[in-house]
Amino acid sequence: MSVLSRDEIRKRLRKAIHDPLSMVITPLLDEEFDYDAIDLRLGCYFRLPAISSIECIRPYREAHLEARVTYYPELIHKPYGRIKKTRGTKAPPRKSSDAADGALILQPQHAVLATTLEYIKMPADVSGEILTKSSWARVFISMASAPWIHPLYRGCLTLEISNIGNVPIALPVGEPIAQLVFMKVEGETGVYRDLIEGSYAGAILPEAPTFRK
Amino acid sequence: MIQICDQLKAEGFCLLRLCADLTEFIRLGRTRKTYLDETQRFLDYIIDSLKAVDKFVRNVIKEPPEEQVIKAKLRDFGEIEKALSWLYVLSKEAIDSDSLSIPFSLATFLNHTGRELLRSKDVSFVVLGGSTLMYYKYNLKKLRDLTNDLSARIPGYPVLDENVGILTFPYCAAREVLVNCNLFHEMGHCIYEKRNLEKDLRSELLGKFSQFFLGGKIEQKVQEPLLAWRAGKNYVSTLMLRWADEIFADVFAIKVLGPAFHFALREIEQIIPTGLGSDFSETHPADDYRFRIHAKWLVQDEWEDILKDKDNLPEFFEELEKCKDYTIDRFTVGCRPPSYLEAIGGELHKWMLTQFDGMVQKIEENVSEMLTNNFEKPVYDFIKNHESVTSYLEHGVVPSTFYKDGIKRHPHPITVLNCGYFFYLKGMTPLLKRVITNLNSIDKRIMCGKRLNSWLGKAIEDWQILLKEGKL
Repeated sequence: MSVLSRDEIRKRLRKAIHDPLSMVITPLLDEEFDYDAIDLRLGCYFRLPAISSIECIRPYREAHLEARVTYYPELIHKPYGRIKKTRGTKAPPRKSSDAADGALILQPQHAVLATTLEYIKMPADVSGEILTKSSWARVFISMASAPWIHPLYRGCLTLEISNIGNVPIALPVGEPIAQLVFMKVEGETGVYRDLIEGSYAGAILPEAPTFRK
Repeated sequence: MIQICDQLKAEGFCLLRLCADLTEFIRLGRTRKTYLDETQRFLDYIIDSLKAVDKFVRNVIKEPPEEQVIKAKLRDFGEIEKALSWLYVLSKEAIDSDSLSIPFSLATFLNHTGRELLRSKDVSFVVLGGSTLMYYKYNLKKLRDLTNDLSARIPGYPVLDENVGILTFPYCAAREVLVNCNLFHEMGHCIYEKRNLEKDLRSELLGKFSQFFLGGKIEQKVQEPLLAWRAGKNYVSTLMLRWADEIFADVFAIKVLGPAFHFALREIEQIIPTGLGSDFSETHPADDYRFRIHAKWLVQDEWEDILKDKDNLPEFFEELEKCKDYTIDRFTVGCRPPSYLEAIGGELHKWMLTQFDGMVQKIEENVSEMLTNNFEKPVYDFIKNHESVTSYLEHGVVPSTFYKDGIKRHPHPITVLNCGYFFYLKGMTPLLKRVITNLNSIDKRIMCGKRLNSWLGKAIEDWQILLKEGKL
């Protein structure tokens, strides 16, 4: 397994959509990628567990589980409010009201389902791994649990964000929060027919779990 | 004196309680939700109105006025009640339409388009989730008059901004993008009002009606000529100006959105049939007449070749094209004229339809003039990008950024909407073939339809982000 370089990512982006080796990242503001990864920006939609309205989730063990888990998280929207930064100049400080408008405040020991602003289509021969950006890791924001993206997956990527620190953190919509590393799968993947599979394929919102057997 | 003063106090306390309830209702509704900026500003307006009313009523209760003024204050209270009941309905619909139960990206794009076309940053279209299966524009004239009146009586009572328009979509269609293209027609009504075209149309129409009435010797055919003339003036102007408003909104929407608006209108008419094939009703022109206008403008705006293309529903356009040849004689007015004019009902209706045909030309000129300088025909972007957009939708990908001939492109939201509608109406077959699921074919189609709407919404939202970031 080898990591895709910046040049290879750019080449893949230029391939026609019907080519199984093509890759899509949209909206694409610029192509200033790292040499071995791309930045993922925080999207506008979140699902916060509505703690008061559910007693317990028991995956696979309840008759009406689907109805229960579909409604447990509450969908929240925060408007896009990225502040444009000019090279060499400091970004103007956000006013507190701006921060509240364009950011989700995550309390200590709380978790939220979010999505990336980017909608990604993976090539047929490439898997991906989501990594927390190191600056965010240093304030104890963690993106865990399901960071692996299969070949040919398409959709906004779901981020399970936890604040494992001791202070509330504002998660600003539109700012880079994670990185995606692309890895070429060696040998035959058998997925060269461009099919759309999986419960969450094509999602643009953080979707509630389905726990389908 | 004591009795009337008690009545004033009692009504005052009722109003204060209503203000408190309404304020709490709005605040509770807003605690966990984010609204569109326009909706937020509108709710702020309502809160400010409530504050002003609260202060005013408290002052009246604290210091009861002189006997001769009490009746005037009671009248003020009556007017306030009227305004609050209006504002209650609107605040409820605004609260219902929080940003996630609304075609969010479409509503923001609609506002962007309105501001660009009217060249004004102050224009705002508040989009509300209505409780009926209809799209409509609130007639704010009465509310505006009422609030203007209150602002003269109550210190600090805010005047409702002239630039605000309120549009409503069926709340159950909250997540739809395609069918909500009908909102552009409703925006057209607001622009009609703003351009003040009605005044000119009315005076010209009434002049012509007088000529018809007097010159056509109509007065000899009716029993009470004076009453018939008055009733006729009212009947003719009410109906024809309503039809004019509808045609303006149609021409506006078809010119701005292209075929997507026609498809959206047909879709909503399938859900709630109007039954107005060739009949003009009290409020709307006949469907076939409207489609005749749609066909005309789709041709003029260069959509014809695209619609005739074998890949783009040519049978749909053939049907529409038939409407192009309809003459005004084909249409009838399906209303009863006032009793004074029943003797000449047929003649009057024929005259109205002929005159209306002439009036439509004026309306078309007015819309075209507005869209001449600052509006590029949407078909040009469509021609450049439609193949890629459709291909992206077939592959289940949001079509907001793609490369064509090595160049990065971001299709315009109107291109996205039109491609989305063509793709949807053609049955989404390439997408359905590509999706592997355990769902049965009906549920699979419903699921794909929902996904398609969400991708289109995301593409429109992305375009606005790219615009904000200066990347277009």
